[in-house]
Amino acid sequence: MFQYENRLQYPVNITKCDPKMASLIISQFGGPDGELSASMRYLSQRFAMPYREVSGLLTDIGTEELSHLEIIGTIIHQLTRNLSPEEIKAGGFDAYYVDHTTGLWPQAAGGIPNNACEYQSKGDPITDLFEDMAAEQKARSTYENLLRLIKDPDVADPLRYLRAREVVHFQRFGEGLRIVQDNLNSKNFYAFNPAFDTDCKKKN
Amino acid sequence: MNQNMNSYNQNTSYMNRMNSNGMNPMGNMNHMHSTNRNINNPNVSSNPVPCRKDLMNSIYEIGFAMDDIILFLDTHPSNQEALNYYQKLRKQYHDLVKTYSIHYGPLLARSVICDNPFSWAKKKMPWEREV
Repeated sequence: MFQYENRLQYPVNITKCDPKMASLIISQFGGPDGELSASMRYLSQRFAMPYREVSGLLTDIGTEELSHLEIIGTIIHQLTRNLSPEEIKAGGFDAYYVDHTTGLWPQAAGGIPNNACEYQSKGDPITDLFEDMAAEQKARSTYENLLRLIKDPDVADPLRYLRAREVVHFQRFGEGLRIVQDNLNSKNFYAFNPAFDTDCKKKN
Repeated sequence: MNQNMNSYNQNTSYMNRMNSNGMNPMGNMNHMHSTNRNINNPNVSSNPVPCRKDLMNSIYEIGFAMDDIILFLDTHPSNQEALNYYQKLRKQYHDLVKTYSIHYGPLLARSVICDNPFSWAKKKMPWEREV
């Protein structure tokens, strides 16, 4: 079960509105490599992970991604506080505003709605962990793309923190993959799927 | 083993920023540095009220260190050095959250101390808070 702790994982305190930047950063809320997709991917995959250290890792990283979703939501909320209709038009926030006012809705920077196709969950531990390592790298690239465009230190600082967490998660997933492979036949990691071919697992 | 410890011991830029903005390096918390609001009122307990901002910054800092060491322990469950570090942080975190809850309200719905109205329902949400 999940419980709410009433604080952010990392502080956010933005004083200047910037609707244009909000419409780009929203990709890390609901975009293909954003925090919502990351969380749903790991929290879905863990049920098919037969090794306890690794299903625990998927649970803890999936939970941390929910905290990151909240940090991104806070950044967007604070970037779009008290906007006038003129500022909305000038900042190119008008198309989003028509459907959502200044509420949060999970979409990519290009306006594409959050899509469960991003929650890759194959039910094969090796496949899933390679997916997760790639996902962390894609999220790192996205944060770096955003950071090249951002000048406000109040916005850049929490995004740098989130970028660094992608690197740590990539490292931990790599260790998770190693744990999975240590449980398999080193001559052929692909001889069977340990999440499905349970008879093979017993014979080994 | 030292190689394994690199990830959570690395000196990251965001931790440096925390320090430069008055957040303290780990293990050197000054949240007890306090603003004594009751100095002119003899009827109020003379225990100093810890500064809310300092306390919250320490919670951010120790909370982050815990999140990071827990992921490390997920994949290195028998690393004694990491286990010792976890134990140290756990106690610090518990004490900080307890102090915070007494003075500034609950961080968890299950830790609300008997009150009317229910303070959890009146809490400020983290996106509106200025810390």
